[in-house]
Amino acid sequence: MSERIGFYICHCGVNIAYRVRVKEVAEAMALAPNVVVSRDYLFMCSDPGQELIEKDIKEYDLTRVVVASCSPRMHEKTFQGACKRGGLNPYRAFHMVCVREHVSWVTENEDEATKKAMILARAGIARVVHQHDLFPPTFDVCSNSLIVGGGIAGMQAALDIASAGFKVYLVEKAPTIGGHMLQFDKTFPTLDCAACIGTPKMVSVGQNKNIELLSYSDVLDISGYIGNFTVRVKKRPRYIDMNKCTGCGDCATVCPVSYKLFPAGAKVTPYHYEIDPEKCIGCTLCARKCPEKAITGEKKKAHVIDASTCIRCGLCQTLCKKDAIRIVDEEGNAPQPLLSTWDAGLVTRHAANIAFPQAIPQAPTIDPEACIGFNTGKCMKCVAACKAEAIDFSQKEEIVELNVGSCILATGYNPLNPSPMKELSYDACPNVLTNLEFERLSNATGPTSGKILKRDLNNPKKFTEPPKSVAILHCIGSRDIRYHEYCSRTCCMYALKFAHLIKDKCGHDTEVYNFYIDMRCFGKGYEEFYKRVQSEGVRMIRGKASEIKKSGDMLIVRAEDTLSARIVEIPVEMAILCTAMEPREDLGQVARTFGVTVGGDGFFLEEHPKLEPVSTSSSGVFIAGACQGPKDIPDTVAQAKAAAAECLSLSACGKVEVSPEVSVIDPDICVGCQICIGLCPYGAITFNELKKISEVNSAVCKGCGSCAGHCPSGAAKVQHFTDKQVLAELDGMMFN
Amino acid sequence: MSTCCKLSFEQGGMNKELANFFKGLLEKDIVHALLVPVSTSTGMVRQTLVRSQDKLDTIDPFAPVVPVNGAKLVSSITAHPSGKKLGVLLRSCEMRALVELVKLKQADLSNVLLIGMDCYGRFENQNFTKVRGEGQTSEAFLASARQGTTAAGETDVAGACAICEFPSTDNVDLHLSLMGAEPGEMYIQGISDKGDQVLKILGLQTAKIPAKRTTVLEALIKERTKNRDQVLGAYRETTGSIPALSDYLSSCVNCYNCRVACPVCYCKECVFLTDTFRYTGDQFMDRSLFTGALTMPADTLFYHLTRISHIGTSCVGCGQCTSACPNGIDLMPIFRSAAEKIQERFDYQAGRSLEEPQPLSVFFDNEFTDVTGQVK
Amino acid sequence: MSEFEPKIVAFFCNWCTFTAADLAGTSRLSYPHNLKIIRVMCSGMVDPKYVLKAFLNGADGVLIGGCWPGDCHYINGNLKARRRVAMLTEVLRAYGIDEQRFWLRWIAASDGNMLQKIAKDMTEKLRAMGPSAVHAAQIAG
Repeated sequence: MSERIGFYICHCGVNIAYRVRVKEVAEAMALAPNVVVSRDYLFMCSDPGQELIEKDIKEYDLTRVVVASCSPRMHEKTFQGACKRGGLNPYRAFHMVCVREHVSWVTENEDEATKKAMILARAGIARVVHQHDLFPPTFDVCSNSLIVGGGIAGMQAALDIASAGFKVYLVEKAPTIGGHMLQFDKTFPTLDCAACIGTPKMVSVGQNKNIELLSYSDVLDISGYIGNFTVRVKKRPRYIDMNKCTGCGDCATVCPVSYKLFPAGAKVTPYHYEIDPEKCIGCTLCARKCPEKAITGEKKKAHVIDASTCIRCGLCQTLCKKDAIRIVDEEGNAPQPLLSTWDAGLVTRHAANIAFPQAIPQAPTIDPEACIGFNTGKCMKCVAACKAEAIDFSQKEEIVELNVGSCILATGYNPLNPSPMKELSYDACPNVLTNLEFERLSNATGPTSGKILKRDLNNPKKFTEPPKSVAILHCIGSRDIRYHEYCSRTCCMYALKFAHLIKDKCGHDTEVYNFYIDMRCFGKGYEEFYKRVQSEGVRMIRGKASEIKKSGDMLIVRAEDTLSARIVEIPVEMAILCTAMEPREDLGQVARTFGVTVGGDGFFLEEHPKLEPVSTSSSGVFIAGACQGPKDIPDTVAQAKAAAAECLSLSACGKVEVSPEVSVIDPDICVGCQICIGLCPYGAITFNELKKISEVNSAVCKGCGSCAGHCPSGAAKVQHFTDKQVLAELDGMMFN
Repeated sequence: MSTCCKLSFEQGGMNKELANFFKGLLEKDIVHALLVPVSTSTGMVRQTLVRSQDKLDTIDPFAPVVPVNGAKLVSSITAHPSGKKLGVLLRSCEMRALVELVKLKQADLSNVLLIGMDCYGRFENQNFTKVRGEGQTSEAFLASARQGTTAAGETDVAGACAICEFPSTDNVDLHLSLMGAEPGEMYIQGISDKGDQVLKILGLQTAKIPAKRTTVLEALIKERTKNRDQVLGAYRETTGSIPALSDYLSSCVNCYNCRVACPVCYCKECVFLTDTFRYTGDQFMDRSLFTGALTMPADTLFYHLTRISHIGTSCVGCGQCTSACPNGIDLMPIFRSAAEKIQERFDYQAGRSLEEPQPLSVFFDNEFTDVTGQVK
Repeated sequence: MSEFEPKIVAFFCNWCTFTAADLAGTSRLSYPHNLKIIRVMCSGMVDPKYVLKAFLNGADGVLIGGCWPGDCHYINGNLKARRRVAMLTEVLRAYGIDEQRFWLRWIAASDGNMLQKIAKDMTEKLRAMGPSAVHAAQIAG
């Protein structure tokens, strides 16, 4: 029986035909070996286009179909479907040649484009006759889902999947879910309180029977394939027995330690407390209160701390009215203070701490790099305070193995750190704040109970009065070739929000200046909010601020007001930097773990920029939220719901068809050298001791071809990408 | 690596002395079988799997002929191990090829006693028969070789041997050494602990290896290295392009004898014999149309270039490919010259060590950054 | 005399380079017609035979496109490809095929611009170098 090939070249409207003389190509291919019908058509992917193929298969008794049109990544499945409906095995019968993305859209000269299209078509026609029947295997799908990241995206997706009746494992790195959204004060444009809309979500997640929350945990690795993943998760020890803890927070209240006393796992602290004899007035307060009786001294004479008895609880330092006690190491260096991540580093926290009052799980963690009890067995104030007897220093990290069918990565973003931008004086001036720091100031659970206050220039931990003038600088690190070329999408809106909050909380006569490049108010209610804020008397200056300089107690912000073509230098008491939304620093690591690609901007890459926003290059792994690119809360929630829908479609279907383009080792040819086993990244090949040959587990094999690319005897072959097929394609390409 | 024993013999008595040594291995149950060169009734010397001592009477280990690279034979016997102890006598190229085959899981050395030997080279099979027929004994060959002449009249050893810079054999348990020794003397060196044990059991007279062995070996290696560079250099000069290679291979008829003879060409079935290379009539017609003409059978160049890519990391330069070619093509330089460059690129030497993984069986993160020349 | 048009065969991995080629198309970035793409799933799938065959068929240049190390969709196929390319370069160089005719390049999925640059660079370089000896001699191996 001879081969009978149907060849089709698509005009794609004019997208191909405007550069490639499609009729000429069809005529030339009609003369190629085995081609019995050769057509050009306006839109091959349309219904009539596909019906044309099905009709020709019957009428001309076609054995193979070659379509020259767009990229196979676009429509290979479409045409494979047409062949299948025509009664042919799609893998055997079909091959797609790309003459649009790779020819018409990139070749300027018509002659060259037409010739190239002919060559590629010829190569495809040569290849297709060597293709074989392949049958995709179907596997059962595990209906559990894994969500990595418990911010608003992760929580929303978890709730949607759970409400459909399927189980979700929600893994969160931090001790509590909530993410950045819960750190915000009000949200634009409606000025909803973030906590008011966020905490109910958190509580729902915590209470939902179908959601198993693994907080303070990391994903170690994942193996398997879509519908059948095995994930290992490391649960870090909180040193709190979660079954006993009531979340009362007493331990955090009594914990005296606010320094990293035991850095990098040191069991003995390199730091000690010492009293400055110049400052000490010998009031004996510290000596009397010291729980270990480590301080000695006579009244009105300088006291001394015995470092061998002192447990470093720091009570003396908090009591001393003369600020005479300091903590240093041998070289005089002070330890790192424990800064509250939740409060954007504005205040310190203690070794035992709950992130914030509405944390879910409602339980603290004890920092092993700071806790005296954990490292030395002393102090133990938390143990004494805990009525539930929930403190457990013997806790170890636990590794659990989870079976899931689908995963969603919702790992969020990092705000850019403006320290390297020396021209903005972020490190030098305590009243230059980042957007996140400002959110914490404005948030009722923050260090100032929601009042917007300046920091004391001599003691940044102290807050003074409301500022009389504030500058808000847009585009810090965004739209900037030195940092990120992209626009962070949210900053213009929250900058307006900040302006409004300042006017509201500090008084309407507070001067507020927004330094912007363009105003991006694209969403529902956004433009209206912009108008409103402008009407509140906020001064909008069209020109990115280039520098913030200290001048006495004031900050001078310098910019070009492009609308009036003048340089302005405006003195303010406080400046807020709208920092770029950046990919998390461990995004590359997560990408590698899950086999997901990273785009040029550093965020996870979606499968298609328009049509597949939440799928990735790894089947069964989806992305949602800011980890895919900067976006606001409404878009994040929409993506979360989209990713959840993807997971649900897998779980609801119950079965998944896996590509048959996997490796197969011919047992008659294999000589058992086992080199392929060492090359396989998935451990999909094992050695059969009895037959002395290597064998591929086709369920685990992903068809990468590392084995086939090496095997000298050609025993290992990837189905649909065999030597014979590729060599024929090469011949077809070169000899014509 | 300390014991050394000495065998002494009168002129003409070398083989008898060696036979006694090998018989001792069987006698004392050190091995159950031996793979050693034995004279046949027709005067040819063949590697033979010997079980009974009397068959060792016609042993001729230093006969300058190697009909088959011994690595292949050891592989065929040990790929599916019998559990019985085997003693094998191998020259340097055979042992180096065997090391490569072990890494490819095609040979198992767990019950093998490896005996290496000094080698001045081998004649091609037909030449050996001729020279033997003219009366040259192994001892005569060795005596002449010691003086610096491996040639017997017009006939010289194989081209591969003339440029071989590995006259002694590494990675063995015992070594038959005569370079640097006086005529009538042969040293059996214990190289590994296992080898030392064997010598102890055999109870042979111990001796010290002559000091001048080192200098003799060094001088020979130096000479051979010079020859190597000259021969391979000349080859590269004249055959440095694909068209030139095509001319060089103009007599090749795709018999694939070279692949059968090659000890490190380890595939059961060569890919060139599989369905991948069975073309349709259309394919032949198309190809010949493009170039105007197509020498048949096709894919000769393709076969040899592919073989270079496949065995380049393992080629030990034994020259069996040249010996096997029925149309007299000197294939050895094709492979040795490419293999030298390939192995150099990976800082690898075929057969040097069992611990060294083959270059294409491993890969690391930050290496060969010059290949793409790109920095992120 | 018509100007010499180099023939370049490119083996592009599905996940990064082929996607980049698609992106170059969607972005309408022009590059020389000389580059013709064969799709493979991974640069680690490229058998040395494919490269040899391409040159024996008269290709003036061969390009293998892979993902940047660390980003391979199949974890490390590109690292295996790199070693194979190092080996093949020696074989080709021994027979007069300059290593400038055989490139392995990392091209990220979002980097259509890089693809355009490489296509242009390679074409220009090969144009200056002239046809490969096989192409010129019109032998079939």
